Amino acid sequence: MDCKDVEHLIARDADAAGLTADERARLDAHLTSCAGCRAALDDQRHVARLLHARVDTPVRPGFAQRVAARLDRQDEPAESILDLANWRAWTAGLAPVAAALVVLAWLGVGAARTPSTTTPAPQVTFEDVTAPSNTPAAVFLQPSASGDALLEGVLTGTLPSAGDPNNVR
Amino acid sequence: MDADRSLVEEAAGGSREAFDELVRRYQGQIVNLARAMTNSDDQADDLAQEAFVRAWRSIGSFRSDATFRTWLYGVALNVIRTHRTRRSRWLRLFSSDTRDTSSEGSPIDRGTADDGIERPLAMRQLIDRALAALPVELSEAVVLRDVEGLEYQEIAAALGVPIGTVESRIFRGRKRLRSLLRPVKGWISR
Ligand SMILES: [Zn+2]
Repeated sequence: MDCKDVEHLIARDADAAGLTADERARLDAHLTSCAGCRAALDDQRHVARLLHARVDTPVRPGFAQRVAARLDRQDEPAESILDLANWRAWTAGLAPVAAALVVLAWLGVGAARTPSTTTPAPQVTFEDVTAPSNTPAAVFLQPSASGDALLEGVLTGTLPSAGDPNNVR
Repeated sequence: MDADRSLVEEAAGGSREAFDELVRRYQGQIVNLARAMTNSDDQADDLAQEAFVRAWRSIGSFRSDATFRTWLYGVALNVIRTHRTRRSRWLRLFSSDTRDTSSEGSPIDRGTADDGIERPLAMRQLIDRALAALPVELSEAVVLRDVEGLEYQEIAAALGVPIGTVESRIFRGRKRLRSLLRPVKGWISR
């Protein structure tokens, strides 16, 4: 019999999971003639005993209450704290910010083009707000770009072109 | 047969009291599982909480052909696996080389049992560090068997794999742990 064929028996024998009479006979027959598998059984037993001797982790006080509090929250966000590691989840939350930036940029355009307006709009001009056109900030000032596309670009480093720099200078 | 049956049925019917009782009943096992799989007290607490939140959300889909305990372990392992996968992706993203730092060399090399920590705690730390260095499919099989004490049949159900796969993963997992845990040799035979 091949060593590979008795590995599963060795695994179970090592933690006293119990073998049938037939399995026991097969394993014993192999072990008598195979020093490698005898050593493997020894190693498996040793590791199993070490892990059995590992002391359990204590539960932090108030664990069940913390779970209950999370379940109690009616308006629990769909994304858990674990999803912070997922950029798609947390950047989606930035979409409104991007939208607000676009609106601000539009306001800026309006203010610059209609200086005669009676109620002075905030004096935000492109000279004030633009960064070099190859930066993410310049891309945010393109009113035509969608928030999703911008965020995707910023985060993946494949920014859409900010267009002709003359437009914003 | 399943000691949790009536509680589970009540919880599936929307009883928070019943579910809270299940949380109290299993919190120790799930926190311990998460600790062994992440080598971090903070992550263990977070992930165990998340496991119970997901269990509550999906308890309606629980089918009694498995025990609640087995099903809950399955839910928790999904949470832990997702966490470990994301974590290693981020480590790859932000480190100059592509190795997962948790599998760098022998984990024992980076810690010592003689640094003043009480022996059982130091031993747990060394064991969990070694477990965290294994591929997740090997560590979860070994942890369920040798740390949590599940039967092979239960492990197969929790992982959704045949029992032969469980045996093979346990064999290979222990084999890798044997060298990672060499410094701990003799601690338990004294
Ligand atoms: Zn052999």
